[in-house]
Amino acid sequence: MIEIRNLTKRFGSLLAVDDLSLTVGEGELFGFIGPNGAGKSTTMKILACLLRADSGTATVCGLDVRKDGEAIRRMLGYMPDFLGVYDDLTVDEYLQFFASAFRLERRKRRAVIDGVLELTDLTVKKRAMVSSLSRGMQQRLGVARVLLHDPKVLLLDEPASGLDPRARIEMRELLVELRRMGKILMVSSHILSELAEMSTSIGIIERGKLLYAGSILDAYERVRGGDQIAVTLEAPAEGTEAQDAESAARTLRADSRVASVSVEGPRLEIELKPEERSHHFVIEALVRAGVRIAAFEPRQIKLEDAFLKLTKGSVQ
Amino acid sequence: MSAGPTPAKDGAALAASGAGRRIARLVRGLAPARLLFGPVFQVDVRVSGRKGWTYASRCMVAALLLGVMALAFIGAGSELDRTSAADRLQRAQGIAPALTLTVLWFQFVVLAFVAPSLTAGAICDERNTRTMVALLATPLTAGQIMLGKFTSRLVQLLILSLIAAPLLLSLRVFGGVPAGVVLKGIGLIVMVCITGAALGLFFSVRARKPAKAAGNAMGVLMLFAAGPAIMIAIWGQVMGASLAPGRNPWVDVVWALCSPAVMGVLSAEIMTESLPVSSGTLWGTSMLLHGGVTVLALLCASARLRAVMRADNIVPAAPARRSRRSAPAAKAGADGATHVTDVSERFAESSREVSDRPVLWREMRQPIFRSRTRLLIAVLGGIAVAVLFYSQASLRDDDTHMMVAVLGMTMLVSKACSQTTGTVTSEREGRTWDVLMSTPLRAREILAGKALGGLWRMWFIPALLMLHFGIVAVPSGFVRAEAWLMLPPVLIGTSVFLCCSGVAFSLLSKKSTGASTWNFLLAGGLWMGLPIFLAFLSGTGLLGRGGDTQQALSAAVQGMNPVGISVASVRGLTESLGESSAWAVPGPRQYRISSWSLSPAEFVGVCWVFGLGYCVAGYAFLTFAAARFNRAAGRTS
Ligand SMILES: Nc1ncnc2c1ncn2[C@@H]1O[C@H](COP(=O)(O)OP(=O)(O)O)[C@@H](O)[C@H]1O
Ligand SMILES: [Mg+2]
Repeated sequence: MIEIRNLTKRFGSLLAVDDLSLTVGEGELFGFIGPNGAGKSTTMKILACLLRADSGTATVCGLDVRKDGEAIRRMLGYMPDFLGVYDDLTVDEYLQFFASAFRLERRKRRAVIDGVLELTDLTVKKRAMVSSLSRGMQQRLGVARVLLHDPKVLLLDEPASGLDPRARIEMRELLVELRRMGKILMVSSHILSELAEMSTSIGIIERGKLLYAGSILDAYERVRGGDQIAVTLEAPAEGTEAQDAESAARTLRADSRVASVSVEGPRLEIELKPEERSHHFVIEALVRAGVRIAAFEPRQIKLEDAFLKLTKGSVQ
Repeated sequence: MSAGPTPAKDGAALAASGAGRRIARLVRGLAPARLLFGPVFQVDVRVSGRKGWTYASRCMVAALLLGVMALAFIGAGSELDRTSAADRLQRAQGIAPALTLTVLWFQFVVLAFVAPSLTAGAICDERNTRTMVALLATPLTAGQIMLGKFTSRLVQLLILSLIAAPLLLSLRVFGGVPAGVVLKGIGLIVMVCITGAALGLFFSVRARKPAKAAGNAMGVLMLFAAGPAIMIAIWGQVMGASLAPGRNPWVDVVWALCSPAVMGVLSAEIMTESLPVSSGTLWGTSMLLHGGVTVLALLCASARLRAVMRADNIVPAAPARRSRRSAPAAKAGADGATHVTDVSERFAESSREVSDRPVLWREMRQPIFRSRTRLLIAVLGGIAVAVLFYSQASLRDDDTHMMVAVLGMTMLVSKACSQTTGTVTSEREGRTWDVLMSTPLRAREILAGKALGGLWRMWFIPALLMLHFGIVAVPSGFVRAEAWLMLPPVLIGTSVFLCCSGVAFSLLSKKSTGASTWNFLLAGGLWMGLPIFLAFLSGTGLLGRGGDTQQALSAAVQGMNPVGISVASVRGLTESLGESSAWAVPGPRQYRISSWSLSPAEFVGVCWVFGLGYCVAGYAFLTFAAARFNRAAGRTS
């Protein structure tokens, strides 16, 4: 459990985190989304006990970040947005270093390190210098490092930034795997679509303010409005008159379930009332009106549009 | 300020053939205003103007200068008390040259140290903050970047060196100081600083840390100072003639590279006004040689930077760090890919077990010498110096041991001062600090690990000193066996203290240069400032001349000074054993600290109190830093 209540952090006159409250429950993968400079890293650092908040409270598994830093550190894995590497160590030594820092018993280290290397698919790179790894591997090594002490909670700051699509997919699979293992994950990103699929819930932050927090389906519900459907009428055959799009539109407008219809040549743009979920009555009405339909395309609302809608107007 | 190319010129250049274009670019690049005062210069000047440190350093130099002046004046003027006004004026005229010399030499020493550190961070800081790539991506050439960096620091340096000018001018009022020689002195100082700055820049291109670059540049400067002297000494031995500067024009060419010697000749001229030979040629040659070295250093720096640029262009993903990991590979033109495999293969066989003190483990794993070549040079150089030293100096001679003690302690202090000051700052720069902070490691553990690791990596200086005194001198009977009891606590206490304070400053400073400056200031304040202050106090007569308080204070001040206590112990250790016991005093053998006399047992006690005292003080520093740790590190608990 991560609970944040009215958290505020200033850097001089800059309000980096502004009265932020959110909760991440057991077994959740929380996607923390916001543009650069929104305050994601700052929030995570406060949770990792690396930064003192000005006001508000934050607890991790019931422990207060202000008082129980020591205990929190043992049960929390934090991966900063920029993986600092000791470039003079091998992968194995790097992990040993942190295993020792987390006070893992010497006897158990070997097995633990082999385990996390296996999980992050880095076993073959065990003896390579950390500095010789690719960016994707370095990020995975960062995840491997946070897993050493088997933490309950993982805070991963932009783990996919700078990765190519393939490495991104690998990272996503790794995170889903971790969620299955029962860990609480808080993962930040400035790209919504990167997190949308795997997150159980998301939070959208901008200029320090939390604009939305909840499940991703709820987020859709909030922004979707009515469904939109585009209907294209068949082109007229040789020598026949063009179909009357206007009269078809008039038929639809008479229906109480339709919010609006607009006509552009042979195309009808139909928007349904928000509570309306089924589309079949549109086809039936059009057929009854004697219209021949060439294409019937319900519009999916795009993730990024949802994101824009969610955040629009809240911050100027 | 920068002279932009005119469109017509640009057009012409474009139209011209490849070779013509290259020449046009060269010509444009050589336009002095653009070359010297280009964008790099302007940004750097602006940034340094924003740093409080810049002004603080100027004030500090001015304050130190005034302090030294006041001391010299009081020292020389204390006998002026009951004399007539005319007498006093005449005396004042007598002191003027001495004061001038004090100021000149002070400036010479201070600025020669400051100059390399001013430029040492120029390139390597830029790389550590990852802005170098952006700079290299601009159309600026390596030479333009170098010169921009160079001139911007030069402005600082000139300001620093001109602070003393009003003082020197005011001294001329007293008369008796030949203006030409003073100007020559200032000129030489400025020239040596410029050379130092250029060398600092040269080493900055490949150095990992600014402190390393500064250290290397100072090393080369010292080599220039000591090399010719040693060469001429050997030469003189072989020829069986005295080859002092100013006698033989051919020898003078070698002397000219040795700036302290030239300064010495100028000093002699100021003091006596009637030197058999004029310092003119020597000075001129020296200026020319230093200028030549400067130009050479700048050219090499540009070439080096260009090489780094190329290496980075080949492997865009590779951070610049990689190319400095193995300079030989880059030099040989090996591309990044083979280099990477080379690194991972080299370490493939070995993966060491990390101990339960990870921070200490890592610190101890840091190599003492960056590369094998450097280790080889150090070992060979050490052997050469040792052979030269033991063949020339006699173990019978007390002066030999005194010299070893003073040089060794000075080396120990300066090494220890910068030994640990980069430990925390470099983790912050490498962004590994946050990661380390998120582990349950405690403050004391991290800081003590860094301090002990630093201590471990400088074992060779105390070891060399003990080798000389304990293994060579004691068995041969020219140094008393008490050395075994006296020296270790002194050596260890000093190193522990400075390593601990270095870590503390490293935690509290942003940059390692800042931290090492603080540490040097601490050492300088304790061991040079205090004696000067005390001398000042007794000069003013506030303590009562020769009173008990003054004696106790000066004994304490000497006793807490590592060089002072080493000198005192070596005196006692060698007294009336060798041949030239100039300080042999009849009566029972005693150790003297200032005006106090101690029996051997008492002095051993003093040494142990010294050692334990500094260990405790170092521990106190660490504890203090640990207390401030969470706040400084940002940790909440
Ligand atoms: N140590 C700091 N000092 C001053 N300002 C900071 C510091 N850290 C972050 N900020 C500012 O706080 C804001 C939030 O930063 P951050 O949390 O890093 O954003 P994000 O991770 O969402 O991109 C930014 O405007 C940033 O400039
Ligand atoms: Mg961030």
